[in-house]
Amino acid sequence: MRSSLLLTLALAPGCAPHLDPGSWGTFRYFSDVLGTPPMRLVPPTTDRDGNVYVLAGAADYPATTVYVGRLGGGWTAGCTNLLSDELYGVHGFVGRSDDRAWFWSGTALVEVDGATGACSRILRQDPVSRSQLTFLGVAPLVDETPSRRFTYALVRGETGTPQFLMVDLDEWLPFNTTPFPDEDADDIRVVGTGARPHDRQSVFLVAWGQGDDQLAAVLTIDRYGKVADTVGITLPTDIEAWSLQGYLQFSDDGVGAGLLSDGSVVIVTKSTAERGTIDQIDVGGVLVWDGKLFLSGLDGNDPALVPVQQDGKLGDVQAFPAAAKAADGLQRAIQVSDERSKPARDRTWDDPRTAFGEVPLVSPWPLDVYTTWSTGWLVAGPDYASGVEPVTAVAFAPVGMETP
Amino acid sequence: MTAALWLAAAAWGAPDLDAPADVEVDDDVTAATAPGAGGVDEAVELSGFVKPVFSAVYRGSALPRDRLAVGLTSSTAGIVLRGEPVDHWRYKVFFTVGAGTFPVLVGARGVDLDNQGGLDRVDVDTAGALGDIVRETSITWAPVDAFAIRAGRMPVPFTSAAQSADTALLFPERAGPNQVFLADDDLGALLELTLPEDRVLAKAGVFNGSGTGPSGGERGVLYLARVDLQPLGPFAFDETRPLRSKPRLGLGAGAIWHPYRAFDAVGFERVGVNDLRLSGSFRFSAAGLSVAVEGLYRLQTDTLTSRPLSATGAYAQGGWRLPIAIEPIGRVGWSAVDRTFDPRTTVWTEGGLNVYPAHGDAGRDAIRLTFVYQGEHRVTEGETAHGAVAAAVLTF
Repeated sequence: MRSSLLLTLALAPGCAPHLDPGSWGTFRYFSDVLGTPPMRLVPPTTDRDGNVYVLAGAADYPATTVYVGRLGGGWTAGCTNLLSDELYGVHGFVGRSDDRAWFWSGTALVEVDGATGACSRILRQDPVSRSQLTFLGVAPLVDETPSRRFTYALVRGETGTPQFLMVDLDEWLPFNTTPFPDEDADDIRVVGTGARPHDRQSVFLVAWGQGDDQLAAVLTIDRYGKVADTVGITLPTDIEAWSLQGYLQFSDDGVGAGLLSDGSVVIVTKSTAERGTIDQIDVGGVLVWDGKLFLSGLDGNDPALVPVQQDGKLGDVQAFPAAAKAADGLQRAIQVSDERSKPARDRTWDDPRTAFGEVPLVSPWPLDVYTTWSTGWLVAGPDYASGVEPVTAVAFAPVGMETP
Repeated sequence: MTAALWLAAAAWGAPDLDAPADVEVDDDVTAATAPGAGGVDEAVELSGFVKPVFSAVYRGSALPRDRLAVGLTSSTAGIVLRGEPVDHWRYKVFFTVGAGTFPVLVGARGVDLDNQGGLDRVDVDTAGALGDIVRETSITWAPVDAFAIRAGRMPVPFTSAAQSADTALLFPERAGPNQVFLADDDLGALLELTLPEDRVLAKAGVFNGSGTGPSGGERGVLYLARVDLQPLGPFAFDETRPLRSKPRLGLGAGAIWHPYRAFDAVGFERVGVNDLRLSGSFRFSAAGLSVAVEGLYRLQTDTLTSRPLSATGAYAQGGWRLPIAIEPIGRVGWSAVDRTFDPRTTVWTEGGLNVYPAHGDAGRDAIRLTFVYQGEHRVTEGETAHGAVAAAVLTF
């Protein structure tokens, strides 16, 4: 007790204990998940209360499961939001608040309660007409004030053209509906979404029309659900909906980047939007950390970053030591806390590896600010055969983060 | 003319214009709260207060239902029973009863809206219930004037504001940052030491820690230490004070350390937590002017998450008790919570007047009317709320 008091007092003047870049915190084994690495998982997120949310699923896999790890230990068994009538699955987390998080899966917006682990589909129907609502795109942004919480979406009813709207996440009501700007547009496809949280703006990368008549643009939606800006972009002909992996991610300067499924990269500034290929590194993800934007991937076998500057130009390739050290930390056996049942038990995983992506910290989805010096990641343990496909043990752990 | 009188009265060392010239109103409260102080030698002494508060709060971006809230927000009554039935042994029982209630569930029924056999909604019935009405129930053993041990339920004297009586606050409520960091009432034991002439007050105690946030099921002890230096002489913690002729200065520091262990549902230890809170205060009073500045810090670490919780806050407040029984008051507060992962900053701005209609009578502070503007600026979320508060405090 005396030593812990001395430690706490020593840390008191503003120096909270840090995880060094690339160092792992406690591995929390929460479940066995279908698949083997790279698994159908996205980077976890956390709410303000400290609950951890893990989303299992993929864009081409309709079953979505969300697990919740509580601050004081213990995990929910997993809430499955099976969307058997939809063609697509997980797009990613939308955001989080004090004690809950939201995710977009298929054409649904889903709330997850951190206290109970329960998940609930939001605004399944139009509250007036009772027609089914299809969330074509949801921005990864929760605009939160003490009195209200909103996110922003492009939604289609059973009839009519899609509309942008603000979704009241407390009352589950639509507000400020705005028609899609091109009233004659047909076959509207949301290629991807993003957000400039610094400016409280949502971004939708949308294509419409077919063949040579295809048009595409980056539409910026302001805090009140109105179209604030439209920037044209050239995309591959007949590009499919949700071709963007993860989300468009933006720096505090307002420049953004995203990874398309064909390996090309979309770079967006406030006045331009371009698609191109990157040859400096083997791009595997997009990273925003401390307000700065990077493309992340491998330079040979080494994790590397390419900074994206305010004008959309790329900087020089830089090493990514935090990712390299995190990968190195999985080259040996690790101790995990098995929290699948009570009480938690310590176990050893002899052959851990990153559960998704080629190396830790490289992902097209946003990395959670677990602390200002760490993010959350998922680590795979032993796998075994099951009736359908192999099942793999998965653990959550914080890992120290730093960019050049 | 009146302004000239104010300035004259406020001048350093000037006599109190309204109070009788022979009245020194410096040490009354400190004397009453000093560890070994007497002053209560009856078996039962009854005192108390009634405090209705009217407020109007405008929050522009809220739902229309919540945008403007106007009404009598609370009407609190406090009753204090205290006495010294046996030499050196005192007791205090302090109840507060508020008009405000909280809803409790008295009924629930499942609703199947679409007749598909599923539970679509739960309709609930609630009724209002009173919360905990006990603020303090304590026994004090004071063998000598300079030393006392108090045990029972009591406010944790972590900050300067926490040591001020509820009826002696400068504003209707304690400062916003204080509400963020303050430990609530708690069960425990407190050792109080007063060095000569009340120039040094020291407190050390142990408490259950139930007022610092954990929801229950944890095991641990909360340790408290607080030191106050009063180099110019006794200086009560009451924030609103009568005119005085002597300047007073108070420097204080407090610490709470709450190590505890949390357990899972089957009773096994899951996580160990260290919760440390620090406070430092500066107080000054002279010629009716009272100023207080307080800084607060919190760091909580645990053995599981590698995610420390850190928060800081501060406030400064002041009031100038004018000879015409009016006291202009002002306060600015600031807090930043969740500093380790997503800092959320709030600024409070408040200003107004205290009016003492019974000024000049024997019980001149027994009735106080307060009219205050309150602004809450949620800097991170970009939302501001404005409020006007009128409160009356009648003590008896």
